[in-house]
Amino acid sequence: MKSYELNPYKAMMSQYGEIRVQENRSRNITITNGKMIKNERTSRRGISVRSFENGTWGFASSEAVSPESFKRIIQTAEQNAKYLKGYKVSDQFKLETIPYHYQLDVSTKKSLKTQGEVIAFLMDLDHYIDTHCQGLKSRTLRLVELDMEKKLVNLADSESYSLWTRSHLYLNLSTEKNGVPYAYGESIGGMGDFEDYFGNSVDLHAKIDLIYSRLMDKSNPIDAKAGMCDVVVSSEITGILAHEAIGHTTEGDNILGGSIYGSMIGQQVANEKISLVDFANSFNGNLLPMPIFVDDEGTKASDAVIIENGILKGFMHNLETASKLGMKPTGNGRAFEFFDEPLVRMRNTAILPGQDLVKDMIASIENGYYILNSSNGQADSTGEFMFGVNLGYEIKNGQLGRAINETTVSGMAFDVLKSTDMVGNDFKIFNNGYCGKKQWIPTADGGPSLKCRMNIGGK
Amino acid sequence: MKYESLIQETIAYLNEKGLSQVEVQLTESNDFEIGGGNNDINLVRSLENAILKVSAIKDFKKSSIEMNDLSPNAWEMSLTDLILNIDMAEADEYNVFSSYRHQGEHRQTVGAQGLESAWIAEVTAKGITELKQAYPKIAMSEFSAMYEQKQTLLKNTNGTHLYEQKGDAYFGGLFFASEEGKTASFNYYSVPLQNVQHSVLENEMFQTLLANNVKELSTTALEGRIEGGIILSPSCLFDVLSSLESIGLKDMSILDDSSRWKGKIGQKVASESLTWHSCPISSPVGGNYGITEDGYPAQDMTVIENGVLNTYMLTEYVANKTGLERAKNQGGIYLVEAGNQPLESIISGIERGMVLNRISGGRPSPNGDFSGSAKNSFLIENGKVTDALTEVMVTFNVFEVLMNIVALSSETADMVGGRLPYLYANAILATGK
Repeated sequence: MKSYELNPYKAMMSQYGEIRVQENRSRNITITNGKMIKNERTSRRGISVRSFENGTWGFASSEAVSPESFKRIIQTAEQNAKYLKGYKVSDQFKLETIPYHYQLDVSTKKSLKTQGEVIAFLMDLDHYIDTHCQGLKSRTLRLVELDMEKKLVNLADSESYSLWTRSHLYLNLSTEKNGVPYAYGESIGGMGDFEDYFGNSVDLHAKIDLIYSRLMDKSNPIDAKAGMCDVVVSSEITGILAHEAIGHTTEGDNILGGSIYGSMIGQQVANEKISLVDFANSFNGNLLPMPIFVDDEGTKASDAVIIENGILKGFMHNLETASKLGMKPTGNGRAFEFFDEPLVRMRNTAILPGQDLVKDMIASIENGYYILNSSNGQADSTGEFMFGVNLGYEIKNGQLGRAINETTVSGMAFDVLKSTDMVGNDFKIFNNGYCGKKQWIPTADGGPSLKCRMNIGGK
Repeated sequence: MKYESLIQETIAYLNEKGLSQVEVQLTESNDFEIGGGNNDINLVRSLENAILKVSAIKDFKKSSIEMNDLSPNAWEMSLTDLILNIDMAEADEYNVFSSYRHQGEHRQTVGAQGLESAWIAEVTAKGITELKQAYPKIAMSEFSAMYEQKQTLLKNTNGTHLYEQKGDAYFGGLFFASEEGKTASFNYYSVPLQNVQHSVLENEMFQTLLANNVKELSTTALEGRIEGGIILSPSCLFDVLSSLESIGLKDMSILDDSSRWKGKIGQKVASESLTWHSCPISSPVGGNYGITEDGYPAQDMTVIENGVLNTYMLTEYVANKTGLERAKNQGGIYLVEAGNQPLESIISGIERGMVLNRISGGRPSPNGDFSGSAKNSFLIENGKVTDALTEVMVTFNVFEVLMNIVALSSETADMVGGRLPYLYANAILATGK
């Protein structure tokens, strides 16, 4: 793919546009109760062209990658851009492009394991679980890998190539107590390939033991008491907060649609200890899990500072939203598959670390909860957010107590951030799921542990 | 089909390499979309794709590969990968391919057929224009009208030969009202286009939700708690049934023994008033399909009849493994029979309750426990719908909700893949801050 020469096709385009060739490859191996129930590889490759004319986008894509196909798709995209001429299109706008050239390749430099070695590794782990974790109803190991390889040019003279990979092992265990099923799981991995994370299966035994002990805790739960309470949230939860509670509502398209934060630039929206950034690619000199140097519109990517010392500073933009709101594009235009058009999407959304220790946060709470692990979350245009709690513990008189039943936490984003009075000195960023909007796409989020107040569901 | 000859070539190639059990599925698609954001139609997309899915079984070891680069070199490299992978797989005696046989090809045409892109553009443009006039405070912040046309051909070495021509046409969008610094909670809805005459705004439930969203600009916090007296909207019921499919009826929940409905075929799992059909062939609201996940012709079926569980949604692999019956389809369509009481009458009998329109939440746990934020929801007081509510949590168990149905409305709402009534159940708790 790196060798595809796209620049000659630019001459066929009469209006501003982008030409992209992309391939997404994935591997999924699932072992449940010692049996391999899934052993699949998928690959989706194709070309797309997006053309812009008088405020309208025309887009076309095809699985066929050939000179003839490029010509046909360019013509279709340009026809599509003219298609709505007979309809009233209210917003005409000019695009301010920020061209850039960059190449990125995060794939492993280690020698690749064979499929047989990978399966043997997984079966070793499965055997360890089977022999060391008593009382399980089921155990599932799921290795999920994704490679996104793309090449892009646009008529503003941007050119980029990227090969981004990630590899995750999801470990899920379930048990039953008094006829009631309980399940718990965690994931291991991140940006890169299998070889970057998984060498000797023995290295994961401690992690498996931890997941098992947490499942046992969960199978002896109490119900959380419904209502507002003090909580300590882990880095993973902070990431969900950053992504769901603030991130979505400060995406440029949601701002244009009427998000409540649209009129709040310059206002105090969080405790002054809170700063939140959607990083383009790096933090403190380290490459982040979802590094974007050039987005899928060809824009040079820059950090989008959303909150600085508690003050709302800005939003995330693609070319269209930046133009309509009179701001600079930040390189947040991203597309998942070759047939997807770029939308405003997050990249590495995180709250910056502070000075406090987690043990001090827990010790400061008389009655509350420590929330460690979550299922999916969602944001609202009103600023309210929610996420599911997969693992949490009660806090009583500054000590951790029993695990709580799965529940949901919600709150108004800015109320939660204003209530945050302790910000941890730990900082982690995660990239093990997908964000849904019109298209699914991998994003990264994280931050430090926080102490704040949230509304918890329960009895 | 453009790549039809590849099916037999793939089977022949793998047979020559010593793989006698092979299944190949080719899907070619052509999609057309008109969409935009912020009440502005400004995107037209034309998408073509072809996907070849190849599976092989050797000595009970199974491997699958899915590709859309169908050029000769790439095709051969993918098949070489498949052959290598299969030797590395673990043997499982339950790995089999469909054994469906029919005289010649079994053909199925389902869903929306023959729609013109110009018509789709017209009904969408008309709908957005009407929406702007009728609900000036509402922005469709993202929306699209999509027509997906797919042809699928599946063949295997057992003699299975299935063809499906499928059309899915729908308008979907996310919207919220805003004025002078106030913003309502967003909501979303999808309208099956095959039931539209002139405008996407004809759908009654869509209109109701839009009108409600304007009222939601002013909200009240819930005082205290509500236990019982809660009505699930059709959209909410759709989400509940979708969760129940996943944790109670589909492969993984039965295979890992976590389903609360395991061992309950023929038994009461819901109130007698509930009958739920899953009809991928005859669905009048889209979501149709003609071929199941395990390579059989899909058939309509009744999941729950008068409260009694009729079937799981198992593929052949899990059915054989567990000794249970293979399902006629794998769900995704929710056609729930209406009740006999108008919604207004149900509401009039509730002293203090809630109409729950949407739940923003995680997923139910395997035992069915679920809690989430109540969205776009309204208080019921003394038999009338009153204030729009904010920051309310709801907690319930999805299995127990079905066992505690008080009433189903005589009205139903159409959405893509669903025709459902309102459901009034006890066993739901709502709490304020």
